[in-house]
Amino acid sequence: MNKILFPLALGLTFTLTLASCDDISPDDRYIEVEAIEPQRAVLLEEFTGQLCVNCPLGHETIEKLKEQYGEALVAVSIHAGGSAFSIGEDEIAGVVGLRLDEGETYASNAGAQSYPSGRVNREYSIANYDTWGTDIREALQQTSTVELEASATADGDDITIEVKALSSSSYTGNLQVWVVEDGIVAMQLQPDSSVDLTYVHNNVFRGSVNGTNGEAVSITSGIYLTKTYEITKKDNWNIDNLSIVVFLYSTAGVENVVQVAVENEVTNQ
Amino acid sequence: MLKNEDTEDILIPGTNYKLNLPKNVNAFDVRSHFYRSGLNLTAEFAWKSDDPSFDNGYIYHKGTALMLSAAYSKSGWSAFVQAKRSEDMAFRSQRSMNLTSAFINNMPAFAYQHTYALAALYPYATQAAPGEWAFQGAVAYTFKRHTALGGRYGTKLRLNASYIRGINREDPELKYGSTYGTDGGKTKFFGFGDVYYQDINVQMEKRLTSPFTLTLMYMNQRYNKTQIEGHGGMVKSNIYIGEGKWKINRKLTLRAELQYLSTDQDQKDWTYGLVEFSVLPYLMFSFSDMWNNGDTDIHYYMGSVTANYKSNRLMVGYGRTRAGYNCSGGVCRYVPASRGFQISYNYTF
Repeated sequence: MNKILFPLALGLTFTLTLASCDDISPDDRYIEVEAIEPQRAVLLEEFTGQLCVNCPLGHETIEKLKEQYGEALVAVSIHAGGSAFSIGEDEIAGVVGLRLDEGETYASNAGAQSYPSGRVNREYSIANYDTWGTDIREALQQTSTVELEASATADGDDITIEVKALSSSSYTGNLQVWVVEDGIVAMQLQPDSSVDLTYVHNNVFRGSVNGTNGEAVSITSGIYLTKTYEITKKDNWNIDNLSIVVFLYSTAGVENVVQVAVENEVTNQ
Repeated sequence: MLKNEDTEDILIPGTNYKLNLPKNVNAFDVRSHFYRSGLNLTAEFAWKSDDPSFDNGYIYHKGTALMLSAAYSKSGWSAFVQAKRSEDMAFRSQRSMNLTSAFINNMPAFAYQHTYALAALYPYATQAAPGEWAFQGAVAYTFKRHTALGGRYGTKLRLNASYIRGINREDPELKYGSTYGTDGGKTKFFGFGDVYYQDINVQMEKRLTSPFTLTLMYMNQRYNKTQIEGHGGMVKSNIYIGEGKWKINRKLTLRAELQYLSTDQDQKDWTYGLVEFSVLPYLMFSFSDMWNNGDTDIHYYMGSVTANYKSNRLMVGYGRTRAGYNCSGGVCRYVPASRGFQISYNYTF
């Protein structure tokens, strides 16, 4: 009998000891960290889809982060993942689809395998939405040698975009200009598997202005780089909800980014 | 068991608070087994301490798993039934991981493991993090030779059923607008949630003549693709399978399969055919085609030659493969659809 009781008692004691370790009480689960002062703006590319049940959680995370960091965080939601996770722009008649071929290219280049996923500044690894805040916080504390400015005005269906970049040291990389739209009402699967037909999609990638990979640029220290682009509004864009995202990037990541609303001269008159 | 992981910074979105994550996660498992006169009873219980992770929304909640199993076998027939309840048992070596990587524990799918291609088209994957109630049972009977139902050589009949549901969970109380750091939503022990998977199948194997064996199977399946894969709704299908095996002589065997999957969801109907010619003991030639006749009209064909010599096995093939997960070396990766040559070599020692 002792041959059974002793090891049994030892096992129970060991088990109970394990069970009592490392329990963190509800009052001790949160550690306050110092608020940071953003040194530059950062870009979050979110890969998302209308048929992805967990993607609303990614959108929610972005809204909270934008509320916290304001203009210092530029978030773009790129619909991708093929017909498994998203709906193509003209894929189904009568259904507003948000996926573009360019978006699929970005998702493929980023290595997106699960949805939602995102990467910060093309510098951090693609990750789930739980670590975006950590990566963004770290990226915001880094400085940039480049100042970026942009403006966009619409006259009817014609949109003129002006970009100015000034660097305190020479910079070589790519300049990318995107069209982004807020307030698009379209279907979205929810985490409880229900379908919300009146879901409002924000930060939606609507296309690139200067090519899928942008254009190669070289900025001389102290000399402005200026670029002007003319584009025509597509039929499914709402001018009043459009903004332009401009960023400079290289193999080291995104150097700086800026987002400006398209000013509609018709509305302003 | 004890997992030690350096803390990483997990910030509550939109706040200046990060989680105080436990550096150590403890887990144990106990099992008891009773066997007598053909009756086999097993009970197993596993427990895991607080393990906030991406899988569970960073809640501080202990994981549990309880499994009961009973099996009985006697000459000519056998039966078994199992029940399992698991909750919050996704145990990874890295808390922010997702998909199929970095699991420390093994929670096999509580469903019959099918080998026929279309029966395995929608394979269930254990929902370790949210938890599940799973039931599984099987009855097998062999009709003896020279009886009315057994025929000249005997007939084997097998009935399997699997039924898996989620666990109903109350909405958790949020802190700082998030579940991070909370205890998570409350659950009841017998609180059943949505159906995740259901599979009822009956198989019959009958040797019709001395060299020829026929196997027939019918399966009814419900697969919650949204829960298991994150998209796709509930796929309800009926699957019909026939397999014939003809032992031509001591060295030559010819095997053929014909399968049909009928469904109105996902990619709709599929047809599968296979012909396999074995030249014992060294060679096997096979050709198969999985045709999505319901939606895409794509043929996923595969032709291969396999050679076995002692401990060596070499397979060379050409064909088109569907997109899916390829698991090797403990790592599973999503593999897109592909077409081309495949070579694989195995050595057993």
